[in-house]
Amino acid sequence: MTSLVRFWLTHQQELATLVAEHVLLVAISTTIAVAIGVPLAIFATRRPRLAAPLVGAANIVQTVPSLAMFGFLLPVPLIGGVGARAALAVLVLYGLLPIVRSTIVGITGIDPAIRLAGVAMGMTPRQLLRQIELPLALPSIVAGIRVAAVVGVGSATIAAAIGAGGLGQYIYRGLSMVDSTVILAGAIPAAVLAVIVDGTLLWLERRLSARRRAGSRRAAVAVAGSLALLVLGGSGLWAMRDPGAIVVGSKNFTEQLILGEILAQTIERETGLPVQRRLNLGGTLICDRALLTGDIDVYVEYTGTALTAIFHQPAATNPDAVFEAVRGLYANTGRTLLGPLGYDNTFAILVRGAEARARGLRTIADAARVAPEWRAGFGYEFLERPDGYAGLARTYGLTFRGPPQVMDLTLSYRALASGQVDLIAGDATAGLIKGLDLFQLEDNRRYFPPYDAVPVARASTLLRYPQVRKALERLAGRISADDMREMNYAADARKENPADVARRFVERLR
Amino acid sequence: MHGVEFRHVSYGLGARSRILDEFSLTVGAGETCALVGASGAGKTTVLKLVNRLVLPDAGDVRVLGRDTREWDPIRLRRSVGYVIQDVGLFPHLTVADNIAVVPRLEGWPEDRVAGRVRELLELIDLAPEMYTSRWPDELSGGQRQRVGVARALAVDPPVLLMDEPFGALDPITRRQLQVEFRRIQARVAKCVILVTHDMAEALALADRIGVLDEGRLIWCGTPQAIADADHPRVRALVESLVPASQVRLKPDTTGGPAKADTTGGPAKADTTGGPAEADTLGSPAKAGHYGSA
Repeated sequence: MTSLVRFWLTHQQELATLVAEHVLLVAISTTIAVAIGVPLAIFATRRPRLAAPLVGAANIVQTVPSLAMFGFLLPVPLIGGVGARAALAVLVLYGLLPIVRSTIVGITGIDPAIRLAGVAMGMTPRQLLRQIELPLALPSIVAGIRVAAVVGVGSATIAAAIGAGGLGQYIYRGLSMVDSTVILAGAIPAAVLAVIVDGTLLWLERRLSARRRAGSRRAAVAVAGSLALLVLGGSGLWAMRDPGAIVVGSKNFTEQLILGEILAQTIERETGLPVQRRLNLGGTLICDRALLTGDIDVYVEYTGTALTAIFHQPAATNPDAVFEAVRGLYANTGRTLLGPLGYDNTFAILVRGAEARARGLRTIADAARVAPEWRAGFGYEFLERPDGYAGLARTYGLTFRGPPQVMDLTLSYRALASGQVDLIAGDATAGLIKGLDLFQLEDNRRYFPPYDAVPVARASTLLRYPQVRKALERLAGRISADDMREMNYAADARKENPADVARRFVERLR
Repeated sequence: MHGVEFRHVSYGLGARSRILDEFSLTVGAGETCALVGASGAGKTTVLKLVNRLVLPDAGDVRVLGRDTREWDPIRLRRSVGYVIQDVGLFPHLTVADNIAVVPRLEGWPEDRVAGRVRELLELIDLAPEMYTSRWPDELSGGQRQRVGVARALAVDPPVLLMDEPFGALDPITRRQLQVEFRRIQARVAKCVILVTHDMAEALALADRIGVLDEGRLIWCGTPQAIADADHPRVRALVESLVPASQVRLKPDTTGGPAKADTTGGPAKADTTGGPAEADTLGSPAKAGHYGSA
């Protein structure tokens, strides 16, 4: 608890920005959803045959998991891609259902005698709508807006996955650092926000249905209206920020956050150009799509990942061949692969450092000789992957005392260090390798595909800003696996801010 | 012609049984005509034809001398007051605002609206200073009905339609309102068409009574004449709906006067066995069954 408070105190400014971004995301998306949903629902009540399919469609949208929705929208022009615009599109889609449904319910739920009275008094359809139907449906509509806004507060945390900011950033950062304090630092304000939004709109809803006080009713509508205006004004300002900056992206785990900062700070220092950070994007495909659409200008990819996940080529094991293949594929699609940073983030077969030194183990082949007396522990993924355990055992003739234990990847480092198992497959750059004195055996038969870390940038950006290319090329070959482990360790185990870790490294490079 | 005229009107031609069949009737200015008949006899349809909520399939309806097909529906409806069965006061508007709806639609200046609201509240005997800013749910059933009448009269339309206006009220309130309605009608002299299935109400309020049965006008005449009507369905209707004390029945009635089994069909026991008392006590009579089927 105290660590949580300390985190908030030391990150006050960032927290305020994230809360503001979060509120804006929800407010703008809800406003747009109202502007689309209410007229849509009114239209549906005029064409009853449309109402059911419309609500059905909105229902289906609602059941799509948010992350999948971002995936669907990635290739869509105008609203797709990454950043606030795409996040707003998703949030608007989510907000539509409750608003459409509650508006339809509100209007169709009006006593037929009341509508008949209006028609028989000679109201035109428009007068009926404005004087009778909308005022009577208003409490129900506001109830729908309330649901949409509260759901929006929740969904907006996922917006951080595509670089739209908001409190989800802490949640994702915490998840990648396996640090519950950071997760809570984002989750608690988000929950509080949801409660506040819910309470405020509930108050408004009650006010509106209390028809005793026409004055306060008008006041409530006025308050809601001016809030909406304020939000729209704010959104205008928000949309205008940072034109023409170099945008650096990253995936959503610690190493990538640090690399993103290293790229950003290097560009800032070497070129003086303004740099905008879109770190913590939710995965390889999102980063790739963002690069293609120009939402980001550069991020760090791994050659093996690019080959198999982005270009769908079969895995290959020769690092130089893979690098050249990937560089060609990128070049064909307007993207430039720069010089490799100098380390390979592949699977690392790890043993205890003391054991390796005592027995003089250097390679996996060395270990295969003593392995029959060992126990092994592997993460579930490693046991399943095509480039995982089965092939490894075949390549090196590995056998263990009993079948390998299945364990959580993060826990397996400690299980190895404490002697519960004797060999694990970890991440080559895991900070804990350093912290727990583990030793990475050399893959001397080149079983694992190479995952060399390489910055990839938009060719057009490099053409326009040759100085950016020069700055990034200075990083080529400068980050060793040891450097990366150390930085990961600083961020993961010592809870240092990735930006600070990166700053120390960049300063040392000069 | 300042009234309403139906000429050979048929409605629901496509349906298995017509809702209205060759319906003809003329109601003049200052006249109150009550339409009685079972539910489903087509009474409400007659009213909806007047303000063009529906158009006839055959024949024509003339309001103030003009065919409803030629009327702009909005103009027509603002010239025809409509007091509907379930009152239909707008719950989000005060009493005054409810009454003021049509005057405002017509673009009256606010001071004229306020004056008219006051005048109407006095007409329906609700003290303006007490009731203008009340909300519909703060009124009793009888008060709501009165406001419904006031609202229908707001722009002084020459025609007034009333669909079971006092149907849902207790007998005492109903009688009060009926008295009040007669007083109002004496002052405003509209062409009034009143739909009811309460024969006593028809007798009390109307200058003329029309009896509808399965979409047909089977009898039409003054309240005095109805007791002497010899159409069997009209007789059955009169016998089943009116206490013996109010209508002099002809001596040769089939069976005993009040307790007679006038129905005769099976499954219709609810209207037998003392229908007369039951109805004046105002159970808004599930008056679905009288006469033979």
